Amino acid sequence: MKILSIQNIEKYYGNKTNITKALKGLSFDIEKGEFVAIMGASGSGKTTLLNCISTIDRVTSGHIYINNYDITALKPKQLSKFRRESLGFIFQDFNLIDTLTAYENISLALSIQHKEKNMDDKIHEFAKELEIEEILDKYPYEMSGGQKQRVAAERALITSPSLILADEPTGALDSRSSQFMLKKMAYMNQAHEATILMVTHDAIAASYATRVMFIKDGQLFHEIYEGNDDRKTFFNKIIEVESLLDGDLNDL
Amino acid sequence: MIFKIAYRNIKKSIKDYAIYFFTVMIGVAIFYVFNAIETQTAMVKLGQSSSEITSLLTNLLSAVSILVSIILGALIIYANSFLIKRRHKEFGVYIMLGMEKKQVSFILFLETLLVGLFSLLVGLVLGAILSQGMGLLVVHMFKVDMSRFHFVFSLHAMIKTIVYFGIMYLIVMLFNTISISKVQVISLLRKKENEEMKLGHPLLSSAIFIIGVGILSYAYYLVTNQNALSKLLEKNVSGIFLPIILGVIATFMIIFGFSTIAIMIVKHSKLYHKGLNTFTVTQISSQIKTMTVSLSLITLMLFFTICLLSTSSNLTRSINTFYSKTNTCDVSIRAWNTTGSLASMLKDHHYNVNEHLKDYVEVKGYQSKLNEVNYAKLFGSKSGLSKQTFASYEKMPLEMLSVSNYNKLAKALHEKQYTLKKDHYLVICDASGAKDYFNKGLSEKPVLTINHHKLQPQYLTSQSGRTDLSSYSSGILIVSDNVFQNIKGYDSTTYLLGNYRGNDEKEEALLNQTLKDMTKNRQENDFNYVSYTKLSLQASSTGLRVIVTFIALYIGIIFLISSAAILALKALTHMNDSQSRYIILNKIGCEKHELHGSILKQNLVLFLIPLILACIHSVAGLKFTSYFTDMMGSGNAAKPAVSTMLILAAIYGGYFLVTYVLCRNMCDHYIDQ
Repeated sequence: MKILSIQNIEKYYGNKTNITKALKGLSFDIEKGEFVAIMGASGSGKTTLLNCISTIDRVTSGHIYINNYDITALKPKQLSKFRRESLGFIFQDFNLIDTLTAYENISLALSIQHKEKNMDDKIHEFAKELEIEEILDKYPYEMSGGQKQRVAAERALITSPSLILADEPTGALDSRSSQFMLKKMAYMNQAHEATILMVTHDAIAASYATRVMFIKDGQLFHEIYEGNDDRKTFFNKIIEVESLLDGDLNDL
Repeated sequence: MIFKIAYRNIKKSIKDYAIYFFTVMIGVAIFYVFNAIETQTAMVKLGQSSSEITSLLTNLLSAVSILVSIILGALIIYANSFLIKRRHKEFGVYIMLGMEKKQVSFILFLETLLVGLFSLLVGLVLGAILSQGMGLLVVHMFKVDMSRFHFVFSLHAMIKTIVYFGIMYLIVMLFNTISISKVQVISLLRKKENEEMKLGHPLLSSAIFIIGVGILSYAYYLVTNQNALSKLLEKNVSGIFLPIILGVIATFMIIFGFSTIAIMIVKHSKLYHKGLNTFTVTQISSQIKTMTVSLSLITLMLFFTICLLSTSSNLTRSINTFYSKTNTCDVSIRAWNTTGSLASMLKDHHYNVNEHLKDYVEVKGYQSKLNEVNYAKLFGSKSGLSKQTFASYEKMPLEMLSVSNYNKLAKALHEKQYTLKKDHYLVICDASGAKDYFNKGLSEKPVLTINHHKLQPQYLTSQSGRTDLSSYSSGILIVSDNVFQNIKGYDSTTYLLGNYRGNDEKEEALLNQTLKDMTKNRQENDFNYVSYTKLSLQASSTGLRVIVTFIALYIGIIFLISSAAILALKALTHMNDSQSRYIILNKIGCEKHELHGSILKQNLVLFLIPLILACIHSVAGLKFTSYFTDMMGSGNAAKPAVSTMLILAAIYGGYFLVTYVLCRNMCDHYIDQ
């Protein structure tokens, strides 16, 4: 089943005399239960793409379907309802509310959607899997970066969204915490069939995904599937494509 | 260049300055209005004998103005420091770019100056308009001649306002310069670290809260229970500070414990995990935690305002009823050490009483001998007064009148007349404090010996009545006619009542002049008198009401805007500190109207806590003030007037609305960025 379908989207910035084309006719689909990583250099358009999918930004032309709903045709009021119910977010800088405990940060995501039913059981169940059960009553300033990001991950997962958007989720973490976090994300993807779209420029992070797409100058440059490869082989493939992508730089 | 920066800064941070500007503007306007009253009252002219009252009012208002300017000055400094704190980073960047601290101070100086000048100007214009309304209010409230009403602008008040606020701004600028020169660049630039949520210890907070409630109940008991209060005030009037200090401490303790207890209760209720409640509750509790002291202060200021405004409206009402009762005869004179009759003495000074007064009454009364009758004797042994107070009452004689003489006075004053059996007496008293003591004493049926007559009380309670226009009597002894036959060795008092024959004002001037002449070069034991006239009483009634109302309004409004402004600034600071939280909430799918709902709840609780606490306080406070107004003879229990509540609601509610709208705009601004 297609969760996300992007059809020939374009995004232009600027005015008539000076146009920047951030996205130039990009199309791809994501099936349910996929863990997709999007890679690309700065300015390649990956953040613009994420903003358009997360409805923060609007496309200039083309269509984005999520669960067969054309979100480019939604009105602002419907948009926020859609965002709340269909999308989960994991941000680079965690974005936890500092005055709430981990538990409250997670429960808030549910109570905003008025899904208070079995809240306590749900939170503890996910927390066990993400190994944050012991810190549920702690405040963000009492946690390590890795713990914060796993709390944020639970917050994104708890509402069972159709699609989880992760923007450089390991960007602010050290390599150990990064790997732990990514393992947990991969686990969630497999155990709960969570569909994840992750933007990153870290090849190691991308190697945890099941599919990696490369974007260059607002267009799809290449994509590779993990298939039956182990993670190391997949990582090497990613590096190969990356060196092609950054060809100019390697000339130095 | 620096001018440009300062000007642009104001334009850019116009929203930040809004509350500051609003408060200073109202402050200026109120200050002008009350200092312009002199000109206003001169215009409407409250009557002939009102010039003294007007000057008293003006003097009182200028004294209060000093207090007011101190309060406003403190408020402006506080509001200003809030603005500086918000812009620390901006100043840090200036210094990093190589600007000297002196120059940064100068930017700030210019900004304060510009905003100050602008708010002064707008405030003065607003004040000039408001003071016309005030003039109309005077005309309406005190039923003075409307024809003389016209637009006036008080130059004196304007200059005074400019000077006072000029001084305040100078002090503010001094504060700014000091605070900038002391600050370290690194602290200006450093990002505010995440707030650490520290909940108070639940047991400790509960204990503090409960002890606070206990202390408060005790303080309430002290001021509302008459026995406890009189015991407290007996030794020393400063005893009144005990319940006040207890109340202040208890207020602080209750607010301190409140947030922890409230959050504990809410956390265990089902509501906590509903919608945005989790967030709203922690926001409120973190805010209350950080402003325990200012919330206590605001509570006390609001309490003071409510009491002041209610008591004043009550007082004006009782002044009104009190004087309206006196509209019976034109003039009353009480004289001592007269030789012959007062009428004949007046005639010696070329004032023919028959010619100037119609239906005049002149009667004689006596002063009791202390060993025969005094206040203490009639209060009895069970009055519950301390030894000291009792001893002082033993030295106070009573005025005595024969019943037929009293009835003559009572007839002229339209009071109740009495008949007494032979060798009987009755006590006249209207002051509620003394009345209780008399009633206790009379229930023991004390037998009095006066001029060799043994007298029995005819009534076992004190009766109402009076002997001149002055007031409610605080104790007159009326005896049967036979007692004063063959009387010797008692000091006498002469009572004269009458109505003018001709033009009231002219007649009054003539009589006053004559009486003044009679007491010229007087020595001890010479003729002396006390006179009351209908005209002077009316004038002082109006004047007193004006004074009480205006002073109360003045202080009340200033206190109210100060506390509301502090709350508003605190709310805005907190909103600014919570910026990231609103952005996160929006990112995880919270809609604007939900966030607005949360902001509304937060502001509502913030504004309601001190108001509710102050209202509870004022129930006890008003009971206490009514105890004093009762002593003055007014029987009315203190009731908060409708007008008081309207003023309160308008100003406080206005600040609440402005705060809410500003917070909401800030929230939208964060999100749209």
